[in-house]
Amino acid sequence: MVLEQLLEEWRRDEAFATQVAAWHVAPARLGRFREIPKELHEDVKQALLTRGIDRLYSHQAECWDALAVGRDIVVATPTASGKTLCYNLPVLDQICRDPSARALYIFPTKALAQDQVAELNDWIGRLQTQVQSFTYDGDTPVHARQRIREAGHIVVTNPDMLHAAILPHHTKWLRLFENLRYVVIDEAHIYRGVFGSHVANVLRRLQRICAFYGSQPQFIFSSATIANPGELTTRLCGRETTVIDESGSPEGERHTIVYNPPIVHPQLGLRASSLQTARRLARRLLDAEISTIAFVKTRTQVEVLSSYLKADARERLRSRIVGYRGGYLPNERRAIERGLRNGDILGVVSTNALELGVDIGSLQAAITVGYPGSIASIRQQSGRAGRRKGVSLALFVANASALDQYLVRHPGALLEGSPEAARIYPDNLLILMDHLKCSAYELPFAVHESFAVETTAELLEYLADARVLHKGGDNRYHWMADALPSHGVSLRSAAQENVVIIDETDAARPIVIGETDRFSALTTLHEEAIYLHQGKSYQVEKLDLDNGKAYVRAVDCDYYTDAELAVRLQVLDELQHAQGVGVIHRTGEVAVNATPTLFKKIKFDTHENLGWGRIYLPEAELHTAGYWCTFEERLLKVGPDAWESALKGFGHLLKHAVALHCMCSVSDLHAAVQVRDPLYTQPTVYVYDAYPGGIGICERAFRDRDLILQSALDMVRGCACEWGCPGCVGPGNEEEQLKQMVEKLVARCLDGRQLQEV
Amino acid sequence: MARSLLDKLRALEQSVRTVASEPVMVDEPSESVDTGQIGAIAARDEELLQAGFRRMETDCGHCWCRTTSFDVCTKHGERPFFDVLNLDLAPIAKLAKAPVSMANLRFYDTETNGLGLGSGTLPFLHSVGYFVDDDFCVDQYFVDDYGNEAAVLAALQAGPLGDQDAVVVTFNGKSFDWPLLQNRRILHQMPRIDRPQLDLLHPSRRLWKGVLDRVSLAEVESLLGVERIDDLPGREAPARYFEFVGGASFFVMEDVFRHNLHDVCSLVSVFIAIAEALSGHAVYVSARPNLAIATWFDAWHDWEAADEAYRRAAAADDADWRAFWLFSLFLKRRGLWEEAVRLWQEMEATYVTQPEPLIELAKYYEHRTADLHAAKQATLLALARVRPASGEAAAMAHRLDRIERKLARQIHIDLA
Repeated sequence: MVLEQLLEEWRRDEAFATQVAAWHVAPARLGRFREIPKELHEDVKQALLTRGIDRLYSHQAECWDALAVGRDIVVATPTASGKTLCYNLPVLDQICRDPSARALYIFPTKALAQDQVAELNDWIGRLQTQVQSFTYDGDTPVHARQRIREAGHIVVTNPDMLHAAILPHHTKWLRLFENLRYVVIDEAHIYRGVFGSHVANVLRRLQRICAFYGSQPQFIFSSATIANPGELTTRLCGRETTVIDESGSPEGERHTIVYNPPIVHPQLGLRASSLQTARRLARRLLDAEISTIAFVKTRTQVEVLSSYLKADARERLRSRIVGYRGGYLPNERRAIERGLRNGDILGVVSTNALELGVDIGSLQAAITVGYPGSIASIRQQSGRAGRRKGVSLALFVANASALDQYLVRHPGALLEGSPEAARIYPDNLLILMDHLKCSAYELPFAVHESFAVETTAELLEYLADARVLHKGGDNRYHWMADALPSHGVSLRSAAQENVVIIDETDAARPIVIGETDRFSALTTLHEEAIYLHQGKSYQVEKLDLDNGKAYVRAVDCDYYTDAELAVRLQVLDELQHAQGVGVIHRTGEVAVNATPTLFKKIKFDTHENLGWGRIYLPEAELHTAGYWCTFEERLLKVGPDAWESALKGFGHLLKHAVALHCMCSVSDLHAAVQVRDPLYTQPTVYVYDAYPGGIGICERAFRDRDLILQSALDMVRGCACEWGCPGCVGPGNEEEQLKQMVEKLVARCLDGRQLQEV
Repeated sequence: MARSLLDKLRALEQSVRTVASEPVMVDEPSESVDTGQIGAIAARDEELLQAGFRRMETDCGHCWCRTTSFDVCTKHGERPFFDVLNLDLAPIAKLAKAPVSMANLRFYDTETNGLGLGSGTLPFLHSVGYFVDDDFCVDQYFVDDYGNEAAVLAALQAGPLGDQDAVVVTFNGKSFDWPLLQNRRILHQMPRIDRPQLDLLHPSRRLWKGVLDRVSLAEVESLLGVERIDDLPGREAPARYFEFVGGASFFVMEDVFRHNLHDVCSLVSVFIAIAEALSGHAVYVSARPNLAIATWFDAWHDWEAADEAYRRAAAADDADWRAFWLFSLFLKRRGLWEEAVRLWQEMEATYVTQPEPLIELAKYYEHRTADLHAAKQATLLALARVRPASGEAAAMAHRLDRIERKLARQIHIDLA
């Protein structure tokens, strides 16, 4: 049976149709083509012909044109629209013309780099000109490095290597930096939040070094569809980029279905599990031999769903269904990718590991089980299905969470609503300072030199006072400590000192299983805490905050722990506020002092309290940016305990709504409440960025509060529960009318919106 | 309530504890900054002059250099510098792959503000030792201010490193001091300088690896009777330099200069020891250095010298498998079959698990004396010493096969 027939059958099947929240069909689209540019080097033209390419898609030609007039560009067209040619073409053309020319390719991970190198080498093999491309990462053997530095036309690397190995040693890369013509940054949408803010600073350092060697490379970004590719990449490279987002590649007919699992317990409003539902639907697809990929959230779910599907499948199909996730060996993963490309593998269950641009060809159907956290991510996942010819299917199976149910009720957001914007905040003081140090190590700073911010001179002065830099007789700031500053800076976190989680279950072979910021460690990694990781329970044996290590051991237990944190929140600087009716919104800087006090042991499923213990840990301090709402006490005519529950519920809801809107993870935010705030003497809810110095989330939340609060209202109103449940107002509150109180607070925030900002 | 940028930064850094210790605040600058600075500079210059430095003018500004001269009769360790006069420098020239004479030797060492070869690592002291007339002189070029580095680099090139034929003698300089010098030149947009290198680390390793725990300059010099008194550990040098540029008196640098001067002198001692080992003047009792010497001569096709050194290595009390084995291969290459066979037979009996001597014997019997029975015997014995089904075993089985075939043919011929 082919996909068209199956879709037709589902359309007629009433049981199926009643669960469909939305069914969207995008008609097939013809390709738009342009001639191969006349001025393209003959050698590259021939190479195109040997691959059977005698014309370009329109967006590929647009990239060529924009680069030819010296622009920096970002190409943001859908998956499988031929984005890599957009950069390979100009780069190879340039090297054919001038063998001294160099290009730097930056991919977010090693695996992606390997894929693209294979593709690149195929092109190079078709050229007469000798072009050398090399991967430079942690696995590159030492003896090969010298040659790469000297002879590599195209050096393929990742931001971490650029930051820690290439830039601090730029004198060894003389040839590269003197002749750098293009910097290619693939999967640019990955560079958001803290990571993106770091990468923007790494690119500032790169450009400073290029300027020293007299080169001014053009930037070529490629990105998945996000709302603001131009803004993101402009902030990343500090120069205005030209956006090319009209794809010219042909597309087949495409069905997108939002499916809500049926209600199995009408009294409680319980729905069938999304995993079981996905199992049922995937089985139908695989039975019909339709190539299918299913995305789930955790590694455990990968194992569970893939074993279900194997068990359900006909004997001869079983070996063609596999799981794919981080933690598999590289060879194993490569074999699966190959199998998917050549069709040997029919079905694959994956975590978001396959969401990035790893080349697996195109499949016919993609199933997303549960909202993966962002619209861009869901687009990437559904983009895995889709062919230039023929029909494809993207199927979203919602789970019971408030967020998923909100999306089911507002499928527009998934279908045509603009995907989220990716935000970065490269001027976060701590991140900026880290890179200012690295940059000063790389090249001394002249007194009036600017590093992206106006306050550079003040910051340099500060570092000189702290004896990190020294102002020489030449009036320049020189690096003065005997350490390599890049060693202390990890691009993937804002606070330098994270806590590493070490599994000592096998005492002879301890392994690192995760990492968390110090602030969160207080409540999740105190001694005796149960740390949940990939669905397994670990008990914390020792938390060594001085050395940033937590030692855990796998245990088999039926409870989890919930720590209470005594939080003292102090407003350092109020930057803006807006007066509503009975409520005031504010944003600014806050200092949070937190001391964990005690923890409760809570039984899985029943949530009964099994006991408690004390936590002995020092107070932690976090300076960050926040957004807070202060309510008039008369809004709710209840006692302080009920007020507190209501505020907590509001905070929980707000965190989720902000995360949805700002394309960040819920754990990037913390919330705190004060029934009688020491400063305002009124009930107040604070949300704040979970990173020292803030990363711009709450600042934005304040600006976009109406949109965010509107989603929050929809979430709480749309929840099927009666008094408030963990899905909408969060766990741990047992208060009658809680949901109604929270709803009232949210609604009140929205009522005041027409009033003026002060 | 608005806070200044610096207040904010201080509080923020405090909160994440990025700065290990409190920032050290320097005194507030005085009102008359200009005259104050000029005064400080004049005082600094005066201090360096007092300490015996001379001011050098270059195209890139001025810098400071202090020269220390030793009469060649001065002893550093057990040996006076003039022993260099009596050395046979021909083998050294082979090591350096360039002509070597007393006059073109440049003993080079640096002190830096940190380890690693990143572009922020600054060599603040460059020292070059050389022989002139009856003296061994060491020029110590000092980057007294970060701003004067270009002048130091220019002075080095115009001075002791300027000679095209100069042979740069270092300890670990090939992978540290010399590339560092190139880094600094690139940072000041000066062209590279290329000079033949003689890095004493590598020959030292060959000669003394088994003898010393780790082959460092300090360890090697102690073998040669050099003592260090009140020596500043090298790792403390950066802190002293930071103190100095932070305003401390030059006095804090004297220990660093002394340490560095000592290092340069030790380069000469190690140089002498290696040159003597290579010219056969030094007699070592243990196997390892003799073997090192032998393999050098072997590579340079100096058969006579190699022969002598191999013999000494094999005769040493601590002669091991490697000494015998390399010697036996040398004998084989030289066609000294009788001796080689005797050695293999001895080795075969001593090292009862090693198949190699038996394989060599088998080859010898099969191809040189055509004693097929002996060849078969040796191969069978060797086969018993390797893991079944290994690559080695397969190769031996192949040999055995061939020998059997030849034997069969021989019998056939005999019968005929």
